[in-house]
Amino acid sequence: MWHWAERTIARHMPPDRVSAVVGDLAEDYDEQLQLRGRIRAVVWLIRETRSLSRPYARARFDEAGGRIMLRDELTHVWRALTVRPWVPIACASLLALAIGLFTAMFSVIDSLVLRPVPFDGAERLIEQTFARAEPDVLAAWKASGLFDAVEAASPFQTTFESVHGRSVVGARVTPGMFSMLGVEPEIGRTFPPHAPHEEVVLSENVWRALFGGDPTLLGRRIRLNGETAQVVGIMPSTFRFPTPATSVWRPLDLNSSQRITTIYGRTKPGVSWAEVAGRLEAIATHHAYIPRNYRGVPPIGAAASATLSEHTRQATGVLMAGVTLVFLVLSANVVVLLLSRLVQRRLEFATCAALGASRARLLRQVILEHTAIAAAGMVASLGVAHVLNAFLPSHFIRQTLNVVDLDERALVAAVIASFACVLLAGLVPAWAGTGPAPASALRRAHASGRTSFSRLTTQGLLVSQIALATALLMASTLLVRSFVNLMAADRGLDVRGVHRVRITNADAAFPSVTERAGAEAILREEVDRWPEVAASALSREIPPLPASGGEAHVEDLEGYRVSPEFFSIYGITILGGQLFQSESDTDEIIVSERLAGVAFPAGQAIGGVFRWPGMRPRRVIGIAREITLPALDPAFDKPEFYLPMGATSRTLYLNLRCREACPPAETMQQRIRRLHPALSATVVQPGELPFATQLELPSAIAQVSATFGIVALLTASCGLYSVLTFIARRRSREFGIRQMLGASPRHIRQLVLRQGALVVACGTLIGIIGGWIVSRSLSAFLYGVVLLDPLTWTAPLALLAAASVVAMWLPCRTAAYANPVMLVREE
Amino acid sequence: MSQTTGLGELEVLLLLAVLQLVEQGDDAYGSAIKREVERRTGRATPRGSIYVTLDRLAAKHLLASTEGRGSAIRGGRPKRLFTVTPAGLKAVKSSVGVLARMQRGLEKILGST
Repeated sequence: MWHWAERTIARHMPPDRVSAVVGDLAEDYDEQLQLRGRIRAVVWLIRETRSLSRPYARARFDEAGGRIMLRDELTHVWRALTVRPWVPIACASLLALAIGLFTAMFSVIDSLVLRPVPFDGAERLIEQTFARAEPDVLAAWKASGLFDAVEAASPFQTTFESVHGRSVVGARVTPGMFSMLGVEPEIGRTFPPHAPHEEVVLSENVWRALFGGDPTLLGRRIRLNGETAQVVGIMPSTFRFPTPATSVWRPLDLNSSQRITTIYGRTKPGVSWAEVAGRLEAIATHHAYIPRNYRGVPPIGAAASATLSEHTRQATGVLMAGVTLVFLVLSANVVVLLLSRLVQRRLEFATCAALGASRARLLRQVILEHTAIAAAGMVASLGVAHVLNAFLPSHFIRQTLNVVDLDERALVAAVIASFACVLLAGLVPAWAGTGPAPASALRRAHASGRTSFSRLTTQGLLVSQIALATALLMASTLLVRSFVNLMAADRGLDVRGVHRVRITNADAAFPSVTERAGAEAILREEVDRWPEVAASALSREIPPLPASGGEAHVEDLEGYRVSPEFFSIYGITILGGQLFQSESDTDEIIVSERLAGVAFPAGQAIGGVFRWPGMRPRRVIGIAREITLPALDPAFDKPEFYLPMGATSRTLYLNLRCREACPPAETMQQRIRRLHPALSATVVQPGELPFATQLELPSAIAQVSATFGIVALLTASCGLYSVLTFIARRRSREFGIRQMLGASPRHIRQLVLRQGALVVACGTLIGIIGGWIVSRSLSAFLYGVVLLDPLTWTAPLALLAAASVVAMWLPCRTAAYANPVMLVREE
Repeated sequence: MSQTTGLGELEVLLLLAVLQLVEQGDDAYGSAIKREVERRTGRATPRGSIYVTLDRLAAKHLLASTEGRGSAIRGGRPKRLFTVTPAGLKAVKSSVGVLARMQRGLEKILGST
């Protein structure tokens, strides 16, 4: 260390001072050593050495006219960048896109998979879901001594009747939930212990979107799901719990709720997962109600990725790989452009070297130029990343409790990688092009061909760009095709033109089964009188996918309780047998053709007795056409059965086909509330249907991958265009001589075309192999597409070929039709 | 201050520190001067600034330096001992005098220093 200190001081100070100064330092170092120990003394020594050398270095720099030199160099850099601005602008834009894309995508993955949920002690949060509220289980969790806090939550759909019947996702939570998670309201308060049932806390999003941020809302009463509730607090928009869509909270009373409930506990520090899992299993077995047809959900950690579906988890990996490939394509293009630019400037460098510029000076200039380009790209990338972040597919945002914001680590990593690319692209050719012998450098600069190093590097990078673009295009074509197949698949029913109205709170309005049955009959008569309605049907669930936990819920099957008109409204064909004659819950059942095949393999389903775990035996009276649920997960599509309506459920759906247009939501709401003021009616939006959420992931992957594929294609085409233009320009003297010797424009065109075609062919071949490997890893996201699908293989290749022809056309034309005399004279 | 005497604040402090050390019969060399300034002003001064300023004062002939003896703890390296030249003494007197004149009449505000 002393050696370093002495050498550093000697480098900057006048030689006759060094000995005395180092002696002073040694004296003080000894004192530091005795007072503060070796490590701190060494740190002190480094600091003091730097403090000593810095002012002397600055003084020497000023003496040598360094400031003037630096100003001159910066001026030179500015001129070099602005004299031909298109390449620097293109490079900075490509870098901005590369860094922005990478940062935005990584930020999503960070929020979804890597970052813990934004609550106190998130890594110690554990949750377990039960089929209904379980006060005994909650008490047992608290008494177990494993947790320092235990609370419960139960999601529910909330309809704001005072705001045009707008429906949002809400949750009932036990009053201590907010303090357990360590969150504070933006305005007002959360629930006190034993909070009254009618209190409600809203999210800032709902407060602003539905109530215009009205400051007087706090303390006011609003109507929710047919009840009156008092707003007591507004939570920040970043707080989303227990699901990412939740934006309304009401107090949960476990003793009176029968809904699906999740219990959350934060373990004490030092308690092991194995210990918790074992104890909780024992508690669930002893205290919880486990229905016969319900497998139960084991406890899981509430970390960010714990609640992600397997498909979403895989999708994040695929998209990260995709964005990395796009990043490589864009970076390679930047390198190609910068290399071409530097090779073009070889004459300039050689002239500077011949006039006395040192190699270090020229290298410094190149580094400054490229640093300026990279810095511009970095600044622009912040804007690109913010814009991309705003347009992220909602599927990803709805999967996480974290806020999806820009991740600084990703930004820094992408910026460092880009800087490295840009500096390497400048340093290597600048070193090679600024040799110590100016005369030979000038001679080489005048020669028409490029150096083999720059030619091979440029063409190699171009081949890799085209290969990556081909692979990305193939993958994105597969994913887009898969999404199109999912959307276009025959589902066995026709939901177009059917309007669904959810009627809730019937149990409050009509407590007994008999009353409810009577009310439903009156409702049907009322709806039949509506002039706009052509046909109507009642049901307890709505197709094509009933919400799990419905009245007709049976493991491995989809069940619907329906009125006889249900089948004609949805166009579900009855293939054999008959419809229900009565709406009372008899022992009759209609099964789908697939279920009939499973339950009655020998045939003769009609008239047979249908037996299934979790159901009482029923007599099959009809076979309905199968409803197909196209989804990435084949297990999602289950066979169906239909039962008579009965009058046992709290929720009722009104399915309507209207003549021209259905009545507005408010009108329907008013008409239904005329039957009983406590009834709540909400028009079900298509996006709310569970099936619609199944399409979100394929849609998101298709959107993102198509964007990647198009960006890669455009970038590769631009790279091809710039390289061929450059080749045509560099060989212009050769082309001029060839033309003077009798070569036709066609011949010249072929020369340029051959060079471009060779690069495209090599890139495409490698890309096809890469695309095959990538496609195989995408099999989990494909629906109705085989890997050897002809369209998937021909469409990207045709697209690439078309883009290549466009990119090559102009350079070929420039080379072929230039005036040979002018070309030779120019050189 | 600099307009009247041509000395900056650190230059005045260093000249005064050298005078103090010499007056106490101690060696006035780089480290000792730094310690003296820091002890009396109560603020840390970068080592580089001290040495550059000492060199500048020597170049202005306000300080003179001689080579002192080395010691084992210094690895035998000599000390560079400073003394204030008559020109230096005149300059520091002038600077202190300017300060005193500027302070006159402000005793109520500044208090006795």
